[in-house]
Amino acid sequence: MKTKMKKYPILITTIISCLTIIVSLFILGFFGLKLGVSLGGGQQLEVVMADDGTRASYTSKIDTVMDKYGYSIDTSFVEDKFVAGEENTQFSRKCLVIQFTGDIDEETISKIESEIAQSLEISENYVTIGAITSSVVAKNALFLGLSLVIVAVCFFVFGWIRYDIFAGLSFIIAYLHNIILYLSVIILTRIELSLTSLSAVLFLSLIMSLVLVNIYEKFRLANKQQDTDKTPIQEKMLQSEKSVIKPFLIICVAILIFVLCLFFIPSLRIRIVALNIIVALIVTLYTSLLIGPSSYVALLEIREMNRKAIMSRNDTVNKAIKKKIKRSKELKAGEK
Amino acid sequence: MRKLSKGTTIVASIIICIILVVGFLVSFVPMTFGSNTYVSLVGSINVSSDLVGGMYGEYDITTENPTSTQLVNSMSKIKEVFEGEGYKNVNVYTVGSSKLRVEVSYPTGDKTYSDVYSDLSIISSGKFYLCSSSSISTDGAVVVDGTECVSEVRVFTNNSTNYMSIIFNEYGQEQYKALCEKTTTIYMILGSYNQSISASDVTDYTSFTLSDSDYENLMALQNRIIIGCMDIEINSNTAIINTMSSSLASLGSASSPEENGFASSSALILLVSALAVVIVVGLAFFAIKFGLFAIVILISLLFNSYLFLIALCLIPSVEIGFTSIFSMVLGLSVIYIYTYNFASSVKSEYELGKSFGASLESAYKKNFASSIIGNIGLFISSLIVFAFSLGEISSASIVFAICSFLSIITNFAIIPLLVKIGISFDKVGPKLFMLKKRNIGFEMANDNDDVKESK
Repeated sequence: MKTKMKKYPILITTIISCLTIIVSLFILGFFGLKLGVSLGGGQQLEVVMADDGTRASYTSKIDTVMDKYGYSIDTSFVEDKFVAGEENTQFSRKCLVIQFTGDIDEETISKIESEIAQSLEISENYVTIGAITSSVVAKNALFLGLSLVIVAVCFFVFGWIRYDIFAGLSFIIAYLHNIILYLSVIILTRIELSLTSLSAVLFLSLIMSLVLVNIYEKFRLANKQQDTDKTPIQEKMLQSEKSVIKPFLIICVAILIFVLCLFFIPSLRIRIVALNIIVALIVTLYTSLLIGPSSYVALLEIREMNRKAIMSRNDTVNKAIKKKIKRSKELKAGEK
Repeated sequence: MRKLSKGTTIVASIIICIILVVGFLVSFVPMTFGSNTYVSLVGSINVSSDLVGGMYGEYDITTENPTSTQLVNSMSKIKEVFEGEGYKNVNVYTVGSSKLRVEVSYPTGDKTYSDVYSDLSIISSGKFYLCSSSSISTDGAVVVDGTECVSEVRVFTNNSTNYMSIIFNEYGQEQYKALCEKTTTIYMILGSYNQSISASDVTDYTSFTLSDSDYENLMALQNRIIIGCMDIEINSNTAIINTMSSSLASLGSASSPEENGFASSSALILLVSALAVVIVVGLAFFAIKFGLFAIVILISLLFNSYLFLIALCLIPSVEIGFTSIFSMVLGLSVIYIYTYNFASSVKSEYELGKSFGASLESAYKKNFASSIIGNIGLFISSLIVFAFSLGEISSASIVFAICSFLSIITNFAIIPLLVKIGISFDKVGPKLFMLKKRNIGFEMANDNDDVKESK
């Protein structure tokens, strides 16, 4: 792959990332984060099915009613249930359970229940809607957050030991940037966030660090081989990156093929997850090719600038000292 | 890289073929030996409820207007107990404010339906009390309420005797002491379970200890007590425990929960097909770009799949769900990345004019550092995520960890070995790996190298 890029567009990428994050923070403040049933809870609709009823026929009719009220089915499954019969008897019946996100008031509940009962030609007693909570408890979320922090720290330590402290810092910057930017894009696009999507971005972040390791290894090798070389750091990094782009694109294509296959599964939840994976993939591609290496380069350049500034300061001081010595010698010679 | 001798090549090829065939049979084909049935490695994988359905329990909450803290604490306790029992993807949530729902996957391995049923029954087995009378409703009975007083329940073995110790918090110790002082017999009440001890035997007010010869009994009792000390109370008479279908099964099929076996879940079939498409496209890419390398990758993927299945069987707590299948795709891509790096390095080395063997060796050395560092990094970070995360993500992270470990084996053992065996056959030359030298002068010189090396 031929690239004409000679420098990282650090300014542009910084502006893009910052703008996306700031705008998404505003949107988050006004509209909040759209969470899927697994993370934010939602509503559960239960319909007792006739013996010869199929999930497909029931779901399509229910979907039509729910669509009218602006709700869409997130998850649906069939379960066996004991239903109360006449004279305190109980009998086992199939029950269709549908979960969906969004708030709902009592009035709408009764309207939806009666419309569904009408369209399915069953008693209203056989249709119930109730709110459900998330199955993720705070403690689990806390532990997951903790694991993210530990992984970030590990990458920092690894980068520091293997390369230098700036590589370690760039690992952390890229890792956090990837997760924050993904969440920002999710907030901006109002796509539902689920536990599966979160894990997708987490694993893609790990893959990203693998790509960064490959780039930094090549960069390290190039630095070792070209110690006397005056090639700018940016160009060296870009050359190292060029050799890693192809395999990384293979990964992206493999994941895209999988994601495209997911769109054939007739489940809204899976399609939303597929969309989430596409977003996570684009963000990871952007972070690993532009943000990670460019942050490392920027930090190295700052170090170089500081070094040069110190050297030039030292030079000036040396010159001043030499001048002083020379003058004092001249003075001494003059005195003699 | 030296060529193997003819004899070694043939023996190695035969061994590989045997491993491939036996591995295939053991991994994918169920077999019956007399009255014993072997379900194959694939058949013994734990598959989570989102793919193949499972069982659920629905319980009425009798506590009036429970607070969200009470609900969350109780849900955490249930999750903890079930995860301790080996269930991985446990969904616990409330339906409205009066119902609690627990969903687990279909039983696999040693667990049977009745095991899952009795595990789900624990939740409705009743509240835990210590009482001066055999019933807490008896007038004047002194009652120690488990919810307020118990801080921990522990099962341990000392001098080959099994004990279960219910450790009280500070308030619990005061209550327990008061109970011991006011009664001669202490009753432990847990729904219909009722056991008594003499108060005069109690010397330590920090805990209440029971012993039993059966360790499993005590473990079951421990779970019942932990759930019996939940912040909310469950109606033990109205619990519903039954089967549920997969939430991902195709809408057209699976209209009944019983229809969702491993093979009949169309969602699972679609997901596995998606995974297969990724494999086939990857192999096709390698075949076009690197020729015979595709066969090498195919064989190494077969080896990997056997090792992967063995690893899954060794870690029975892992449940394969949708997220795990996605992490398999990522793991597969990691294998592809390094194989691509290796193959393209061989190509570039060969183009520079090196012999085939020298190119292989040089590519191996060049990719060693980045490959080992990258894969070990992935392996460790996935283990960290596994250690800290919750059900679905924890299963996916262990799958990812296995894949990154397999990537190390593939890149440092399987692929070099297979290539080495491949090139030892006289008819397998660089051309079959799509390798071409850059200029004729080099080609002639190095073809001589190849001839010398083969000699």
